[in-house]
Amino acid sequence: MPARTPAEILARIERIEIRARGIVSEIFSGQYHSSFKGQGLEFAEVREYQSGDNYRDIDWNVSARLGMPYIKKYQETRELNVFFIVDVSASQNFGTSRALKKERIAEIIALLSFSALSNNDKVGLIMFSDQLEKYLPARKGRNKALEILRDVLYLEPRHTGTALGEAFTFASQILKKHAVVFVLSDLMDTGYQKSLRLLAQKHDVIAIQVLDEAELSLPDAGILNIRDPETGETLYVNSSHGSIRKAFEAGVSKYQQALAKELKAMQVDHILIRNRDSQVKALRSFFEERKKRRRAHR
Amino acid sequence: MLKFAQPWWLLALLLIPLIWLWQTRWQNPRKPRLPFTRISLLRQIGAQSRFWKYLFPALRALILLCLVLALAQPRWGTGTRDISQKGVDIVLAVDISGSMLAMDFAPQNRLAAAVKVAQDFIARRPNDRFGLVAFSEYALTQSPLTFDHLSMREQLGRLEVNQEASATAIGLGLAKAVARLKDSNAKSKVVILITDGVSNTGEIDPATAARMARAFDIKVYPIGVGSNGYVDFPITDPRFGTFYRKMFVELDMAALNNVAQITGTGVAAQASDAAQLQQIMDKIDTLETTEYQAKVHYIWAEQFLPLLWAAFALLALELFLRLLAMPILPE
Repeated sequence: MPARTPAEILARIERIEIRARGIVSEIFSGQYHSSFKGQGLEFAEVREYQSGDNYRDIDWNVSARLGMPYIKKYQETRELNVFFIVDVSASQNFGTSRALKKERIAEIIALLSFSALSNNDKVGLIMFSDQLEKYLPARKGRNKALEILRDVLYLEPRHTGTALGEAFTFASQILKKHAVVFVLSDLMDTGYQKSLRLLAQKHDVIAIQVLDEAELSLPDAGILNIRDPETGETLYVNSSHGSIRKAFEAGVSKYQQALAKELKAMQVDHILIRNRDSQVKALRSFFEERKKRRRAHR
Repeated sequence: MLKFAQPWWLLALLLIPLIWLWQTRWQNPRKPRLPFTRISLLRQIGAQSRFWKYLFPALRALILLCLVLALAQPRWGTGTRDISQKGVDIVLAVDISGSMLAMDFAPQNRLAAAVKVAQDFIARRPNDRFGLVAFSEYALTQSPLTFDHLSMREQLGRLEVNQEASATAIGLGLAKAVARLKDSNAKSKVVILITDGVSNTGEIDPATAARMARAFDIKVYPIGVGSNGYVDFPITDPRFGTFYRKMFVELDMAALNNVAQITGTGVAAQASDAAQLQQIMDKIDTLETTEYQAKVHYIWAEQFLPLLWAAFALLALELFLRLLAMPILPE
C-alpha cells in the first residue's frame, strides 16, 4: 500500500468515487437496478398526461378536479439492503499485474455501492479475516459509501487468516431483513459451505471472486522463493518448469470447477473477476445475464 | 605427510554448521519472499524444490570450508633426516674369496645369501652409517661410510666372487674395515666380518687386526658362514660348462672366536644356512641398538593455493548462478 496521509486517502477515495460515479450514471445503474427486485410498488407522484402514457394510469379524480388529464406514477419500492462481505485476509494483499486484489475489490465496491446509492438502497459492510474486522450496518448516503470505501482500502486487518464460514454465520445472525449480499473474496478457503448455504437460503448472495493472474497460472519467473501470507509457509519453486506449470493450472481449474458447481448448487451467483479484466464489463455482463434469468423465471 | 601449520583455524569449521543453520533456518523469517496465495496447491502437485532451497547455502558452506582449510595452512612435508644425528657406524667386511661360491646356502651361494641378509640389515637401520669392504687375497673398500643406504645396498648387490683368488686375507679385510672406522666420531663403531675361510695370506693376521680394532674402540662381530667339510662347489669348465663337485672347505672358527674375544663381542657366530645367518644378523641388530631422537627436518610445500582457487571458483559459480543463470526471486 502506498503512503497514506489523510489527504492522500481522501484524494484516492475521491478518484475512485468519481470514476465509479461516471460509470454508474452512464448505464450501470439501470442494469444494477433491474437485476434486483424490490418489495413492491409504491405511489410516487401525479403528473400531467403526455402522449404515449398508458391511459390506464390516468387518475380520474385528479383529472376531473383540475380539468386536465393527469396520470399516477408508481415506483418500485426498493430500499434494498446491500451488504458487502469483504475478505481482508492477507491473501488480498497480492497482485502481480495491475493492482492488488484489495484495490480491485475497492473499485468493485465503489461501483456497486454508488449504484446502490443511486437506487436509494442501503449499503453495509462486513470485513472479515479469520475474525470480524469491521462491521458497518446498512445505511443510506454518500458518506456511508465513502466510509465503506475507506475501510476497504485502508483498514489494516488484525489477523491474516481466512475463515469465510464465520463471516457467513455472522452475516446470517445480523441480517434480519432480506438483503443482497456481495461476497468479495478469493474464495480460497474451506469449511464455509454450510454457513454459506444457510445465508443463501435467506438472502440474495452473489460471490465475486477476485483472482490475480498468478493465482490462475503460475508466472514464468524462474526460481521463486515464496511465502504464504496467511500461513507463513515458505517454499522454493522452479516456476519455469513446464510440468509444474501445467499441474498448477490443472489444479486451479479443477478447484474452480468444483467451486462453481458448489456455488450453483447453493444458488449463489458466481462472478470471477481476474485482476487483469475490467470489472465493469464483468459486472455488466453478469447483471444482464441475471436480468434474463429473472425474465425467464417470470 | 599432510599437516596444518595453523591448526587452530580449524576451529572455524564449527562456524559452517552455524552458518548453514542460519541460512536454512534462522534467517528464514527475515528473508524477503514473494507472497503467494496458492502454496498449498503447489505442495499438492509437489512443486517445492529442496534443491533450490539448499543449493546456495551448500555453496556457501563449501566456500567457507575451503577458506578455513586454506587459513589453517595445509602443507605437504617431505622429511629429511638430520645429518648431524648419528647412530652407529657399521662397516661390513665381506669375504669374496672363491670359497664363497659354495652352494650350501642353496639355492644361493654363500655370497649371495650373505649379501641378501646384509641388505635387510641395512634396511632395518636407517639411522646408521654403513661402509663396505670386500676382501679376498687383498682388501678393497667398496663404499666408505655413508648414510646413502640405497647406494650401499646397490654396492652390496654388485659384489662378485673373486674367482682368481685362491687365498683369503681375513686380517687385511678387518684392518681395512678398521681403517675406515678409525676416524669416525660415532658413539659406537662396529665391523661385521663375514667370512668362510681360513686366513692364509696377508701381511696382517686376524688377531693383530682385532687388536687394532680394540685400540680404536671398534667392536667386531665375526660371522663364519658354512662349515668344515665337503660342500658342493661350482666348477666352470670350458668344455663341460658349469658342474658341481664336492670340495673340502676349511672354516677357522677358532681364529674368528679369537677376534671376537679381543674386541669384546664374546664368541664368533657360525651360520651353516640362510636362516641361521638371518638370526645372527637379527641378534647383532638388537645388540647394537642406538638411542637417538629422530630429528627430522621437513621441507614444506604449501597447499593452500588450490583451496583458495576452489573457493574462488565456487564463489564465481555462486555469483554466476545467483546473478545470471538461475536467479532466485526475490533474493
